[in-house]
Amino acid sequence: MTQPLPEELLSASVDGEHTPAEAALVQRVLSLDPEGRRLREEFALVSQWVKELPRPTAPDGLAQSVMEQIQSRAGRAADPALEHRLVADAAMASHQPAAGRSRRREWSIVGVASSISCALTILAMTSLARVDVPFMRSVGPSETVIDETGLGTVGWSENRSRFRGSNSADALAPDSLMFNAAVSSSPTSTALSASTSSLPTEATMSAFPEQARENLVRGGVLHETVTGQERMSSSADGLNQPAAAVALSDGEGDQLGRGRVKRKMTDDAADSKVGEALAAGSESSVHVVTEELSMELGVDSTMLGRSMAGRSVSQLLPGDVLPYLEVTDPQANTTACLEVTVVDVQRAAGRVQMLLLQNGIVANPSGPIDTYGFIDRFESDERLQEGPPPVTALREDELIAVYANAPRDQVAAALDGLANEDMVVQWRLLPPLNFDSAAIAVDEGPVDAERAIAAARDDPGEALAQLKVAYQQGYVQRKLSDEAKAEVAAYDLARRNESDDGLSTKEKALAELEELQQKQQVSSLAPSSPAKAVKRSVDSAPAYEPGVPGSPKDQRLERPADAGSPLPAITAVPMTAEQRQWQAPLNNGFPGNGVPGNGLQNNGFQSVVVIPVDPAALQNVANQNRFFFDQGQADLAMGDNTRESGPEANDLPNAGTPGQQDFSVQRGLQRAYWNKPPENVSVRVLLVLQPVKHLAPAKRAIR
Amino acid sequence: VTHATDQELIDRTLRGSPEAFGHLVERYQHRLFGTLCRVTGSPEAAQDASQDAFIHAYQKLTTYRGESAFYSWLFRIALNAVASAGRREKRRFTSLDHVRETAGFEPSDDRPGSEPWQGLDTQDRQHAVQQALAGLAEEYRTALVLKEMEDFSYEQIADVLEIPIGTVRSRIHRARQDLRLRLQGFVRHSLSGGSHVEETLSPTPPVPYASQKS
Repeated sequence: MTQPLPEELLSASVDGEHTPAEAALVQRVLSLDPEGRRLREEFALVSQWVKELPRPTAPDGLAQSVMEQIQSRAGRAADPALEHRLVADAAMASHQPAAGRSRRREWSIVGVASSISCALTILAMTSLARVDVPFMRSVGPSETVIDETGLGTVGWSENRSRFRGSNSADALAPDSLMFNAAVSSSPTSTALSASTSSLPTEATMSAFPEQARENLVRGGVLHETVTGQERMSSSADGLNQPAAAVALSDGEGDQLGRGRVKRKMTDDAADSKVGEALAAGSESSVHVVTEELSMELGVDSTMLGRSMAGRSVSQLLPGDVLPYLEVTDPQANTTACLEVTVVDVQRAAGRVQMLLLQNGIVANPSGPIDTYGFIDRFESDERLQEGPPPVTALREDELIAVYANAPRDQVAAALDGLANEDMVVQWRLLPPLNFDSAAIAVDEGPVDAERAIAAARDDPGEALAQLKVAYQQGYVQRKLSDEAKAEVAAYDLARRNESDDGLSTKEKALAELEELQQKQQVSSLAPSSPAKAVKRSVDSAPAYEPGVPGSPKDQRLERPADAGSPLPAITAVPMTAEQRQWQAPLNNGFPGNGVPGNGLQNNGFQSVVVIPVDPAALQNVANQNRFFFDQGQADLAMGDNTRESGPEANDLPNAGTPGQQDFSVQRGLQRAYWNKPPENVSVRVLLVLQPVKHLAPAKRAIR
Repeated sequence: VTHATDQELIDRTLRGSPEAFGHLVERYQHRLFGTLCRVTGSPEAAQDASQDAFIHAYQKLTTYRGESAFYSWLFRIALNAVASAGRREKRRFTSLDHVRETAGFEPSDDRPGSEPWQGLDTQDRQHAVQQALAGLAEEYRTALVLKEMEDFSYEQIADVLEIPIGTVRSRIHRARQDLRLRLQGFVRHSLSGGSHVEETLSPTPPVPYASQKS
C-alpha cells in the first residue's frame, strides 16, 4: 500500500509549487491512490472557485482622494521628508476612532439623567469549560448611581446596607462583589458555591483585600493607585455637576477631583491596550493575571479570570467586575451572577434579546431534552419550526427572564454589546443562585446543599420555599437590613396614599393601569417562540409555508425591503395568552430546572434557577438554528436579501458571527442549514429583569 | 505616460512630479482594493487601507529599492495599514455579504449557454465561497487570496507577508482544507457531476486524508 502524501504537498502541487523530486513523487503516488487524487481534485476545485470570485473595483474617487492629499501637502512642505510625514499623519488622523470617548460621554449623561432604573440580572454559568466574558467596559462604584428623581445621586454602600445622598460628607465605601468574596475564599473548597450563603454577610463584603492589592502592585500588574474611596467621593462630586461631569468625560476638564481624572486616564490607557491586544490577538502589551500571580494571591486562577487579555488589572478594584469572567468551582459548574443595572428595563429587555439574536443566541428554556424536537423532525423530514425568543412584556411586579444557552463566544459578544449600551449603569457580580450547587441559606443559616437539593426533589413545595429563601437571602436581604426593609414598606405605603400630583388615588390607579397596558404592548420579535414549540407537540405543529403570514419560519426569514439588518424587524405584536405563559419560562417550571412543576408564578414568587449544562443541552444549541426548507420556494419567497445559498450565507442570526461556522447540506430540492456543533460550549445565561421597584423606594426611604 | 513602467513613474515622482505617482495609483487602485476587500472582508477597511497604502508608499518612495515588484511592495504596505487599522479598531464582523451589499457587486455567471439553474448554482456557490473565505482565519485567508487572486508565487507571498515559504505553503493548505470543509456540499455536488441529490445529511466532516490511509 502506498503511503499517503502529505496534504500540504498535494495542495502545493495544485500551484505547481514543488520541487522536481516532489512532482515525481506526487505523480507516482497519485497514480496508485484514488483518495489522494480525489483530495487533490478538491483542492484544485476550491482553488479555482476562489480564483473565479468577482473582484470588487475601487470606489470612484479613491485615486482622486489620494492625489488630493498628496498634492495639498506638496506645496506646503519644503522638506520632502516632512511632506511625506505630514501626508501620512493626516491620513492616520482621519482614521482615529473616537468610540471610547463617545461611549464615556454617553455614559456620564446616563449616569446623571437616569430616571427610571431597574436591575437586570444576568446569571452566567459555566460547565464544560470556563466563561470568558470580555466585557469591554467595567463600571465601578463611581457609577453606581440610581435615583428615581434624576436630580441628585445616590450611592449604594453594600457594607452598610444603606444608601446615602451623594452630597453627604461621608465617603461611601465601595461595593463589594462576588469577586472579592472569591479572592478571600479558599481555593481548595467549593468556595464560590458555598459563598452563596455567606455573601450576604458583612464579613464577605469586605473590600478588595489590601494584601492582594499589594501583591498586585508588587507583581507589577497594578498600575492604578486610585483607591475606591477616592473614586467614589470624587465621582460623587462629579455626578452632582452634570455639565462638568460630561465635560470631564469628554476629556475637557480636570476640576472634579484627582481620583476621577486618574480613573479616566487609566481607563483610556486600558482601552487603548484592549484594542491593540485584541487586534493583535496577543496579550503581550497587557497586564494579565498570571498563574503565579493568582497563587500569590492565594486564589484559584480560575476565579480571577485566567485570560484577561486586553484588560488591565487596574480593573480589579472594589466595585469592578472582572472583564473576563471565568468563574468555576472545582466541579466546573459553579455559576456566577452578574447583575446589570440599566436605565430602562423595557428597552433593556428588547435590547438584550436583540443582542442575543445578533450573536446567534436564541433565548429559550433549554433543558437536557430535544427541546424543539429538532432531531425527530429532521429525521422525519419535516420542516423545522423555529422562532425568535419569547416576547417579554413587562409587568412591574414580575421578573422577566430570558434564558439562553450558547457558546461562550456568542454569550460574551452579547454581553459585551450590552456593556456598551448607554442604558447600562452598573455591572456587579452577585452570588450565584444555582439551586443544585449552591448552599442555600435559610433562617437558621446555611444548610447543606445536598440536603436542600434532596428536599427539593422530594417536595416541590419545599423546593419553592428554599428557592424563595435563597432568592431573598441572595438578593433582597443582602441589600436591605430589617430596618431598611421596614422603611421600604413604609415608603410603599406612603406612596400609595400620597397624591401630591393632584390626582386622586383612583385616578392614579387608572393612570397606572393605562401605563401598564401600554407597557404590555411592547415590541416583540414574532408571535412564535421556541418555548411555544416546547408546549406544542411536534405532530401538531403547523408546517412552514412560505409567504403565509403567521408561519414562524416565514416571520423569521422575511424582512422588510428597507431593513438594513438581516435580523427580523421588531414589530409590536400583542401577546396571546399562550405567549404570555411562556414569556417568562422560569415562572412556569420550565423544563430542566430540577424542580418539576414548581409553578413559581402561581405561588406568587418569581425565582431564579440555574441548572448545570449538559451535553444534550449543548447539542440543542447547535441545533437551534437548523432549518430545512425548500430551496426553490425559499428563493422565490424570500428574495435576494434572505436567499440562503450556502454555508454561512444564510440569514440566521449567527450569520457573520465571528468564529461561527455553519454547515449546509442538500437533499433533493431541500437544503438544511445548521451551526457547527460548538466545541467549547459551556455558557448558560439567565437574564432576569428585575424592576427597580424594590430598590428605588428603598433608596428614597433610607436617604 | 500611462505606458511607462512602474520604475519610470517612480523615478518621475522622485524627481518632483506627483502626477506620475497618480498614474501608479490609477494603475493599481482596483487591483489593490479588490484584493484588500477579500483580505479584510470589508470595503470600508479596504478603501481605508488602500488610501493609506498609497499615501505611505508615496511618503516612503525613496526607500523603494526595486528589489521586488512595486505592487508587491505596495501590497506589503497595505497589509501593514490593515494591521494598523485593526489595532485601532477591532472589527466585529467580517462579512463578505457586507462587501457585496456595499460594493454593489453580485456574483454572476456569464458563461454562454448556461442554463438558468446553472446560473443560480454558480451564484449560490460564489456566494458560499465568499462566505467561506470570509470565515477563514485572517492569516490563512491572506495567503490564499494572494495566491489565488494575485497569482503570487509562494516566494512572493513569503516576501510580502515576511514569513518563510514553508509557512506560506502550510497556510495555503490550511486555507484550502478549511474551504473544502466549509464547501463540502458544493464540492461533492460538483465532483459528482452536478446532480442535485446529496447522498448524506450528516454534517460529519471528511476524514483527514492521512487518517484514511493509516
